[in-house]
Amino acid sequence: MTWVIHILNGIAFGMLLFLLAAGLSLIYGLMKILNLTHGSFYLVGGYIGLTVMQRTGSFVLALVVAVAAVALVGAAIERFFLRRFHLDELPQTLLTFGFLFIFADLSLWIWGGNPLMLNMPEIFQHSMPMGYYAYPVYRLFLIAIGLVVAGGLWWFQEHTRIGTMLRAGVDDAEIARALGINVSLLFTLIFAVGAGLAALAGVLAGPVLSLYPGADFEVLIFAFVVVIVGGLGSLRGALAGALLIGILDDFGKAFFPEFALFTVFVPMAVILVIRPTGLFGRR
Amino acid sequence: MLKVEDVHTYYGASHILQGISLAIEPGEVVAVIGRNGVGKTTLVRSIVGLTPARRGRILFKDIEITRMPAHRIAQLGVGLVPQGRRIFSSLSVREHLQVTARRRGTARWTLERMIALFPNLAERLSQTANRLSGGEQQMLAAGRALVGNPDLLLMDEPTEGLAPLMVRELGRLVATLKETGASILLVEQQLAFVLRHADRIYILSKGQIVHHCRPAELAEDRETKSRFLGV
Repeated sequence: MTWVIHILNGIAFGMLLFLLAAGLSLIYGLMKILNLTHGSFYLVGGYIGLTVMQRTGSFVLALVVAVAAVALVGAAIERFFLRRFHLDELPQTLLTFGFLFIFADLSLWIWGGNPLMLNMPEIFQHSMPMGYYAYPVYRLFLIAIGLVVAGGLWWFQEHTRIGTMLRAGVDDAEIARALGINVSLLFTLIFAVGAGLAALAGVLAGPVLSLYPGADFEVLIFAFVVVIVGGLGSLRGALAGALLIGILDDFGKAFFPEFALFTVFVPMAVILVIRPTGLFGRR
Repeated sequence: MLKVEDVHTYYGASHILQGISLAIEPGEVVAVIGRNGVGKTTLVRSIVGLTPARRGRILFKDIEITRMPAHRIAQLGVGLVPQGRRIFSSLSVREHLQVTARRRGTARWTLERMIALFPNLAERLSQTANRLSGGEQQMLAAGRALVGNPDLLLMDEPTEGLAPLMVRELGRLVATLKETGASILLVEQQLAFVLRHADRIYILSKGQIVHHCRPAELAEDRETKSRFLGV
């Protein structure tokens, strides 16, 4: 039974990683930008959610405001900054690195340096009996949200016209443009969606992982491991990678706490040796 | 339809197109031929806006498109069949014929008509396009451009790497398009194909237009052929 609990914990953490990695992976796939600001979107999203929650007491409102605000910030970063260095990888990466520091300092200034916990909404403040154990309902809620977002993104990508345009842009942005697809508008849209998803992860993580300076960098590293394992530019890869890393991390922390990071990075190295493009990556 | 006026295009510091001028009238099939590396693809890229010209002007239906974003040029009615086909590898055949579809003016080309024209594709609508043969991919690349209902179609080396049977099939497509009054810029290396289908021919060499004639004239002109085309 302990195993089931650990697997569920791993999946719940994996779903948070998926929300981060999906955006990171889509952004890279379409725009070839390695977005180092992604962890900041998570942390700032979490902090904004926390403030809204404290002021209004509504978790739903916290989610909505944080996601919308951070998505707007993401769109602005793409439109006014990254746009100027299209396909120029080094300046783009440096720019996102710079934003990481700006957001880190701004957060420190506004929300201080102590770890903050988002209050868990009351309906999730109980546990579900599961054999001899009781499992916190909130984690099941995380798993459900992750599945709904994954399903929604998949449906969007496969069954809407904009989703098809997006895939065409990932495959060959140049030809997509020459055939009349407004790829630069897609760039802004995807950057906003990716930022919004990271903020969603931040708010959802607030009640379980707490928010603190440096969390931005920690989740960024995890998200990178996930997209490297899963394959850049692939939604399926982001989901598979996130679940795998989430579960491995939970088992690692539970059974070999002194080697916790090894249980994440060693499998990553092994997968890279066997499949350099990741589980679902192309070329 | 299209006017290219003294266009100069660079890749970084290298001066690829050195003052190209040409024109296409409505309903004409105009060919640009030349050896590898003389700037044929760069000319196409300049027209569609992927590598904008640094000097000179390009007018399409009397609208200046020289430095317009590529997607705007396409939306104005320029269709592209790119060199090397460049099919979207994760899209199905059907999605190729839907994602760039646009109703413009008297919208003639639809998914249904493309399927009628290329029965091969009809059987594979839900297949991923990278599973198609080279010839089928070429037809799909043409179909993908046509469903946008362009007023001018640019075809960049469409016969490249095709089996003779598929080249004939492609020739039938060009002939069909011509009957419907389409304007086509055909960039090619294969002389026989061009002689059969073009109304006028420009020869490109080292970034400049060095010869302009009718197919019948070029067929007779051994000196020009051996000098600029190596045949």
